[in-house]
Amino acid sequence: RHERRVYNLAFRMLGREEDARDATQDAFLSALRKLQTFRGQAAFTTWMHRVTVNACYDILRRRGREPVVSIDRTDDDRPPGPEPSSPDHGDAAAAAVDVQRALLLVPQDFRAVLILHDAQDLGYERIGEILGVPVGTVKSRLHRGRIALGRILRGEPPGPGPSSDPTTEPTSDPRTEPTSEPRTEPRAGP
Amino acid sequence: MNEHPYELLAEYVDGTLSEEERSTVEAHLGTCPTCPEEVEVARSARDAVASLPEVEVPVGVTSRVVRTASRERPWAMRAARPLAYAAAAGVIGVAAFLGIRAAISGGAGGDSGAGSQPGTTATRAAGEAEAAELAPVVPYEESDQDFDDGGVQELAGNLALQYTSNLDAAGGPPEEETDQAPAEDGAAALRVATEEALTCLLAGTGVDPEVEVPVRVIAARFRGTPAYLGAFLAGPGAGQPPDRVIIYVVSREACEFLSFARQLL
Repeated sequence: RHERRVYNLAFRMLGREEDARDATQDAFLSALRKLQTFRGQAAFTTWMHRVTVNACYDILRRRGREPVVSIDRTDDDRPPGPEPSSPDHGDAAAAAVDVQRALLLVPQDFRAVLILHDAQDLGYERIGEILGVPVGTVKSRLHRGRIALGRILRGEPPGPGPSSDPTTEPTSDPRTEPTSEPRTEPRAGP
Repeated sequence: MNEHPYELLAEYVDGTLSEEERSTVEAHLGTCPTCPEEVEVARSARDAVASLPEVEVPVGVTSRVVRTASRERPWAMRAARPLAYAAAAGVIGVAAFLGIRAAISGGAGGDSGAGSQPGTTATRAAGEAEAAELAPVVPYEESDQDFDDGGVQELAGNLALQYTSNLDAAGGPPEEETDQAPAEDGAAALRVATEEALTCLLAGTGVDPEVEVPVRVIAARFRGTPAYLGAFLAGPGAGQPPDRVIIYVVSREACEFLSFARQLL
């Protein structure tokens, strides 16, 4: 189901149900509007993913650059405290929230690759098509994104250490029409 | 670039390297002070993301527009919006509906004057019947304007401003020229035109007027094509007041979806 994959991608990218809802609606309506011109220039799912990522980037841009440390209005609405119920379920749910929080501290270009590859099981080439970047860039972002995420999960600072610096990598905008070349926009801010 | 083979390292963690590539990476790992630890960090991160559960999609995220477009079965559940339906059915005017909305969302002056008639468990009617019910309360206008996507977005913005400022200003319902007069020639013709436009909009978009309430219809052009622009108020979900204006554009002749725009209130 497109809706489920699109919503999950959006929720993992944005961390808030309300934003994910907006991004999902934007993605579907945008796809609907462009359906006339689309006509099979890329696999439909590839294209839907691209449109979804664009919608997420739009919302991130509108939201500003505050790192979302707390997640609003998710299933985890309970205030932090001792979990009375079954430890397995409680642990798993808590762990998922931690991972989601950590994901939101990872730079968005890395985050997108992490979600598409490690959460949604898409291949490097497919991700390259979705984001409009070469396969090598996908792999590089994947590795650096994993390092960034892993460090955050371990309670270390988000920067991944001396061997690489994600903030210096230029961001490419995946906003590509099926018929045109990918365009690169400079990203405002670090 | 730098001397760390990130591309290969990503695949190393994934286990998808060829024999030769793997040797290359392991040679690097044997001498590099940072990569071995980073590989472990990367592995645990990959496992963490891979074990994220799939998130349930909340009810009502994608409206019937999407359902229609992707040719899926219509959404079984509907947001319970007795208030909106009451407005749509003409039990209360659109103006009063907006006044009630202000009251619900805590705006100044909670008295709409018209009262509310909630709890109308009306069964859903098919497109034309709905349009017929809506026609008396939805303002209709004809325009020479030739819209494009930007123009539609601008219209959405203007309407959102209008509704917001009308609600904030006097704390009461806005001055809507809602056609609720008894049928005369002019009024009847207007109603027919409105009905036709609404039927076309509902058919072309699959919108459920209980979820997205029509508040204005404009007959104009979109990129040269004669079109209807329908402005709808929509909300975040079941039972909640509207928080956005959505404009759908359909062609007049075939009622085909042409464009849309959205603006938060």
